[in-house]
Parts: sequence; C-alpha cells; structure tokens
Amino acid sequence: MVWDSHVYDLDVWAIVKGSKNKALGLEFITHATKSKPLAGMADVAYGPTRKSSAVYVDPSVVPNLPTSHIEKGIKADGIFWADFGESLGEKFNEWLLR
Amino acid sequence: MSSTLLSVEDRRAARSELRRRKTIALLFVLPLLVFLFFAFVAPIASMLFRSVYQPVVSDLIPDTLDLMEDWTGADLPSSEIMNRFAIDLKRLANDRTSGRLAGEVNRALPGASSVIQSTARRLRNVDDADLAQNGAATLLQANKRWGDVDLWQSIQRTGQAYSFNQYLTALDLQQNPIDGSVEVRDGPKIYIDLYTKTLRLALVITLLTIILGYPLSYFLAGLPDRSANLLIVFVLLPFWTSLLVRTTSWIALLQTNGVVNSVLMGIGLTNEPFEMLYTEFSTVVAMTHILLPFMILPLYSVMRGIDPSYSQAAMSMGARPIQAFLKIYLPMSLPGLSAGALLVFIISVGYYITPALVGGTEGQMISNLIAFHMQQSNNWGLAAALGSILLAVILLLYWTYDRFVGAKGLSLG
Repeated sequence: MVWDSHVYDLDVWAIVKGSKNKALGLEFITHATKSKPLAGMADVAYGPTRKSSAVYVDPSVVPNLPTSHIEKGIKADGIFWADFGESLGEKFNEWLLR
Repeated sequence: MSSTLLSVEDRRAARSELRRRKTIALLFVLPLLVFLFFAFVAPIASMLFRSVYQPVVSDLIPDTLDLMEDWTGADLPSSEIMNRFAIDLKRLANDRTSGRLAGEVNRALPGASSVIQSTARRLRNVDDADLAQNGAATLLQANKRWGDVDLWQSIQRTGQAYSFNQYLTALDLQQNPIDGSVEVRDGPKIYIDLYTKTLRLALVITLLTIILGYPLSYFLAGLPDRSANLLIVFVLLPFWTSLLVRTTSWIALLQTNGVVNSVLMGIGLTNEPFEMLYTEFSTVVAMTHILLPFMILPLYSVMRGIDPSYSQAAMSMGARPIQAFLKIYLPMSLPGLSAGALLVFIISVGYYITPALVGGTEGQMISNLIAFHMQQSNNWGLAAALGSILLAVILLLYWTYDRFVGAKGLSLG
C-alpha cells in the first residue's frame, strides 16, 4: 500500500438544536469517544482518533491503519473547498472541453 | 331594401349568439389555458426574472450598500462604510446568515468565503458602539484581506439586486470594476465553447436522423395500407417505451464488456474492446436513436399524402427517376422534412437525460452544465441566464427559418 500524500478527513458527532433527548445524545457521544470504543474503528480499517486507543488495537493491523502514517498525508480542508470548489470546478470544465 | 340585410333586432340577436358561442368555446379551453399558464408561462417567466434579479446580498446588508453608492471603487471605501459593514456583519453572524453572504461574494471572488466567515465569528461578541467607532480597524485586525480593494468591489458587485452580471458570465465576459466597460473574462472561458459544441452536436444528430429517417419514411409511404400500418407500429412501439429504458439499454450495448464489444471480440475483429461509452460518439448515437421517431412520423404523414401520379407524370415526360425525385417528390416532402428537422434540432439542443447518462465528460452539453448550476453549485441566477440564452438562440433559429422558408412551410401531416 502506498501512503505518500494520502488525504484524510475527520468526522464529527452533532446533536440537532432543540432535540428532546439532548442529555442522552451527550451521554452517547461521551461513550463513543472513549478510548476503548474508538479502538473499534480499526475493524473497518479506519484509525482511532485517540492516541490512548492504541493499546486496545490488535498490533498486527496497526501498520495498515492511516493513523500510523499521518505524517505522510494531508488533511482534507473544508475551508479550501468552500473557497475554491466552484472556481476550480470551472477550470476543470474548461480543461475537459479542450 | 334588399331582403338579405338583417334588421336591427336580428343583428343584435346574431351578435349575442356569436358571443355566447365564443364564451362556451373559451370555457372549454380554459382548463388547458390555466394549466399552460402554471406549467409553462409562469416557470419560464420566473426563470427569466431570476436571471436578472438576485437579491440575496442586497437583502442581507442593505445599509452598507446604501452607503456604498457614492463609493467609486478605485480605492478602499471610507471608514464610515467599513464601520457600517462591521456592524452589519456582526448582526449576520448572530443571525447565523453570514454564510449566505460568504457564499455569494465567494462566487465573485474565490477565497472570500473564509475571510468573511472567520471575521464574522470574531465580531459576534464585540460591542456595537465599539464597532461604530473602530469597525474598520477591527476588520483589518481580524483579517488583513479587508485591506484589499477587490474584496470590497466584489461585495458591491454582488450587492446589485438587478444586474446583467449573470449574462456576462454566461457569455464569458466580465465587467471591468473601475470603468464599467465589458471585456473578455480573465478566468476559465467555457460557456461559448459549450454552446458551440451543443449546436454542433444537435446539427449532426439532425443530419443523421434525416439520413436514416427519409429512406425509411419513403419506403413506408409507398407500402399498401395493411403492411404500412403494421410496420409503423414498429416505429411507434419504441417511441412509447420509457426514455430511461432506451437510454440505459444503450449503456448495456456500448459498454466495455457489453453486447457490441463481445460480438466484435467473439468474431475476432478485435482483441481489445473499443471505448464507446461515455464519449461524444455514444451521445450522438443514443440521441439519434431516441429522436428518430420525431423525424419519421411527420415525414411519413406528409409523404402518405403525396400523390404518386406526379412522379409518374414526370417520368412519362422523359425525366430520369433521380430527376423526378429531386424536382417533384423532394419539394413536395419538404414541409414534413422541415417539421421533422426543426423538431429534432430544437429537442436535441436542450436535451439533458441522455448526455447525462451516456455522455460521460466528453459528451456534455449545455443542459448538463445548467443542471450542475441548479443542483450542485446552487447558482440559480447563472443557470437561469444560461437557460435564457438558450431560449433566445432557439427563437432566433426559428425566426431565421420562418424568414427564409416560412412557417406555413411546416406540416406535421
């Protein structure tokens, strides 16, 4: 597997404003972001987002996880795409039409 | 006095009877007129209106834009304007609508979105009175780019509710911010090329349908009634089949391991499959197939009404068959040919589904880009301008046709 210049992104948990079960939602998020549950992300070939989860992950899969190669990659930047998504799309269309 | 003239009462009675009949006729047509109004006239009018009216920014920051009216655009705006903008931006930030301002201005100046959003976040808790005094300084402190003239020019430009800016973009032009003259756009120029490509493809498709449809209609028109009726069903049945089914069946035929490629490789004509799908070729082929009935049916109807004795008379007077065809038969079939060609051309200029499904990136037409602006980049003003220009091109073509051939020369049978 080639890891040079890989692009990684982060997900977030969100609670909708005005939700009736806000306390339950907060409880779930607290649980889901603990070290041990996060270690389960390795089951789907994602890297856990806590360094403290590393002890719970099976050592044989660690080299294949993105978190072991973070320094070779770049983080997908939502702000860049919000700024330049449309204009770059236009440039791409221009290139396609040639 | 002649007894054929009506007396006054008779004339009045006749007029009221005529009025009554006209009213009844109108009532019959009224549901259709209402439907046409809501489904045809109103959407087109709304689209035309949207292409010149974009009130998003002018609704969000009206006070700033009022003050900006006297600003020339050459240098940075005065601190009064910048203070007012800072207050407006703080209000937007607290209303959570600063993102809409950021999106609109970003279209005019890519990169402006992050500047506006990050500044808006910082202004949320600053005191109003403080901003009225030092708004300009606060802005510059939040982000250096508030010192760039082009950012303020973009805000002023997007703040015009009524403007032709979208038409300028749709024609690859732009307005010089300082002297207001119209010049060629200094960014990507895609729209004129795309319009030309669309018209070229439509022309190719029209010619192909003529080449394929004319001989077939000629043959069908010459058949006796029973066989003609049976064979015309073979033309109509695919016509009645769903459009999506016909388009996706072309995908199954033309794909890399599809029917055509498997046959060619099976009989040994080629070792590697041809790339036929997701190209201009597949768009033209699929659209020709789908639009063929539009050419065949008017042609068939008109040809059915051509009396064969005219061609026979010409040949009996010594004309060779080709001469008889060119001088007698072809001009008589011209109304149907014109109707079919115009129909196929106008439909294929605006066609969306088939290029979207089988065209890939090579076979894109202007309709695909209009759909992109409607659905993905959410720039309805630009999509409306592109659609209006397309409408104008079609109307111009029809007017040219009418001028040179005459609309009376059209016959759908």
